[in-house]
Amino acid sequence: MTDVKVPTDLADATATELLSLYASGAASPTEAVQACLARIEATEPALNAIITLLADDALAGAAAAGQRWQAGTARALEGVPYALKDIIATAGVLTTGGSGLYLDNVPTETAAHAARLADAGGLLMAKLGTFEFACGGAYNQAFGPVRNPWDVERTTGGSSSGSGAAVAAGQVPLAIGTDTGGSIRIPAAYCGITGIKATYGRVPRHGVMGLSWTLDHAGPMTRSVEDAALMLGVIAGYDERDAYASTRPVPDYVAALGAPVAGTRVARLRGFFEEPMDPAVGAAYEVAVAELAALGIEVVDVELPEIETAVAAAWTTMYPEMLSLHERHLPTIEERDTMGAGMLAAAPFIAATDYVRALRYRTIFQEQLATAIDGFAAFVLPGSTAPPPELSALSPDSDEGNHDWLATATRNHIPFNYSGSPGLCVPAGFADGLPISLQLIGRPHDDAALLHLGHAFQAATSHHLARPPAVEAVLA
Amino acid sequence: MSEPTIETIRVLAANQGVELSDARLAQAADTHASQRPDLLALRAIPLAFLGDVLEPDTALRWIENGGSR
Repeated sequence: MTDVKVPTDLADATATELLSLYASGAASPTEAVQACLARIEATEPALNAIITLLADDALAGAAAAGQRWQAGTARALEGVPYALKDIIATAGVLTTGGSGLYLDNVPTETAAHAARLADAGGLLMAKLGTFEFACGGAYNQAFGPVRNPWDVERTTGGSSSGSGAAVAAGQVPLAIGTDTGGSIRIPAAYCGITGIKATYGRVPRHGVMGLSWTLDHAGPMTRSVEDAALMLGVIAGYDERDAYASTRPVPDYVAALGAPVAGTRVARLRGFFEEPMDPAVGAAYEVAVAELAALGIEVVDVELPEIETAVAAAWTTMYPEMLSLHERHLPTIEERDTMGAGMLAAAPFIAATDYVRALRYRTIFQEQLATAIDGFAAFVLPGSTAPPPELSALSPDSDEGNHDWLATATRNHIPFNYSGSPGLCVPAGFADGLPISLQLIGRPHDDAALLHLGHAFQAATSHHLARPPAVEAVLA
Repeated sequence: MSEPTIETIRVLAANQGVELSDARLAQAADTHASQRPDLLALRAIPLAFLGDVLEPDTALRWIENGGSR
């Protein structure tokens, strides 16, 4: 085959496109890695997305991957560059948690889902910036803030800050983020990329520095839904080292893409989820919902009766689990980044009865969701209700800006960490030059339905193809 | 039940062997104050002792069963 279109710059190719190019012989893994390294060199000074760059390893792996393609033994992600949030363990490679407390932490074992990426032929390019321990705030004292490729004076959001910036800027086509209260979906929304938090237990968490085992998820951050489906298919599945890993078989997520969506019904979550809403974001979101409806999807308004209570229950669940996991860090709390330090300080005073009540109430909220979604394929709601704030508005050494940002940014996400429902964010337009996002929430273990809808949306729109100014500037 | 004050939180922290700076205590108090109305709403929801008793793992089974118990 010689008719495969080669992108102007391989750093802008999706994983799916790279695999097609490799298969046709139109490009090689070495060329793709070199393109990503060039993009990193050009954009990293402005973005600060990477903690550890693994250029030599990736180039060596690319050469071996090229041989596999030539030998006809290529695997699912053979020769595709990817990167990991730096709370994900990698054997023999520094894993800092984004913290000055773990600057010399080199694990001896690779996280379960990260090992699956490597076993599928993926090439680990970098360990990426993160809020300290996935909760520290936008200003990382140890490594500095990651900057948003759409406006480098603004935050990427987090906590998967480096993953959002790196994928949006074309440093890598695939990254893993983690999500306890929106930490995949918030930076996906702020950076104009695709991010999926699959059903709780779908992707094993073994090897990930935990924040709250009831709420923690790991998942793909990509530039297309098709890539998210591809990556999820590789990393999903049972692992005996994760006590809550699902034993259900992993479906073929890519095969679920492309079927017609006309006639599908989607429930639009109103009320709490759209109030308050930045006016420009709200206007762009209305256009995005209209684009969804233009696919022949019926959009029906619904509200959830006890959503504020569910949010409180989620935080009441997170704090004690965070304290249990981070108990050893209490003596060094003043060395931690401010937002995480504040959360940890608040944690000891959740009553045991409140924690257990929150875990028992979880099923009540789940069943409220089940009632509300009855007759619909998914919920739709904004991935963000406000633009990413300027970094100058988020204090590096106090709660100023951080507390309000945390509450605003997580409110459309944390309920679904609590319920365990899958959530997918896709780019959906722009407000004042910054990306906005459409979020789809589904039934547990119906991740494929979200990917199906999200792919149909991307097939009909071009929001996900836009490139941020930080990239355009280096290509000019 | 009254809302925890900074002093209450300081005593509770000391009881757990935790020493927090005034700034951290203020952060903790602010967090609890902001969430208190919804926490009280959570506490007000009746949870069954007889019959259909929910336990923490009920939620895990709901997830694994694809949205049913």
